[in-house]
Amino acid sequence: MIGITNQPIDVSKLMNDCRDESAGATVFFSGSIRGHNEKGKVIGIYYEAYVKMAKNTLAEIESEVLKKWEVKKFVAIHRIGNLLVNEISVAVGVTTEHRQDAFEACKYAIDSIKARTPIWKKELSESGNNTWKSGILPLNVESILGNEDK
Amino acid sequence: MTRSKGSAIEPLKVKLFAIAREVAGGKREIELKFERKSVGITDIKERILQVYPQMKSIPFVLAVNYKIVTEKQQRCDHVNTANMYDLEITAQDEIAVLPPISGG
Repeated sequence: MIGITNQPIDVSKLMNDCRDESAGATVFFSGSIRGHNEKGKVIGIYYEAYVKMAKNTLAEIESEVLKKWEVKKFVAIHRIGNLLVNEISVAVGVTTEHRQDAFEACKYAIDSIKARTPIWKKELSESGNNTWKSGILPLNVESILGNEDK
Repeated sequence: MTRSKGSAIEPLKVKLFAIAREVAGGKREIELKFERKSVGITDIKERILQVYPQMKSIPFVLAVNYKIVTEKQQRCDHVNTANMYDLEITAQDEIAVLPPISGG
């Protein structure tokens, strides 16, 4: 299951969605808003997405994960809109039979989401000096995926 | 879309996101006019920089129909990278300017 939402991410529900009686391991990653950056205090982040393309990209990543590992359950949700410090912006959960696959697949998924999904964040500071966070151009997809034997 | 004598060619609509939108003046979508109905990715990029020279200050890539297309007109679809030298973009395509991404 993948999605882009403007609603708070319910981690408990997602973790429950990841349960599977044929599997022994779930690795769950959640990213949340830090209260500071290199310049000082951050009060929140505004996230913007090219929603249709972002959903397509998440679906591609899900499909890659299902192809590379024996995955029983997969969830990847990214939130957009205005988020406050401590709120969850992204969640990825992977359930597999054994833990090594779950760790690897979850890392692959969150790294791919950050490198490829058309989502942008603007850090909101106390001073009102809000800035778009510098990121990476989603160009070298093949090199990101390269050297992946599994 | 057909081009008949005397009729205007439909402009290409281009979506702008994040810092690219702000630098270009805040519009979520701009229209680019061309003399012919199909153009290449380089034509679009050059026209954007011509109309919005301030965009030269930020790196960006273009997406056509939700796929990233480089200036070399190669399409990265994450599964296979097909040569897209014959890519012809028309007003029926969805075009978007993507500045550096920073999700997560």
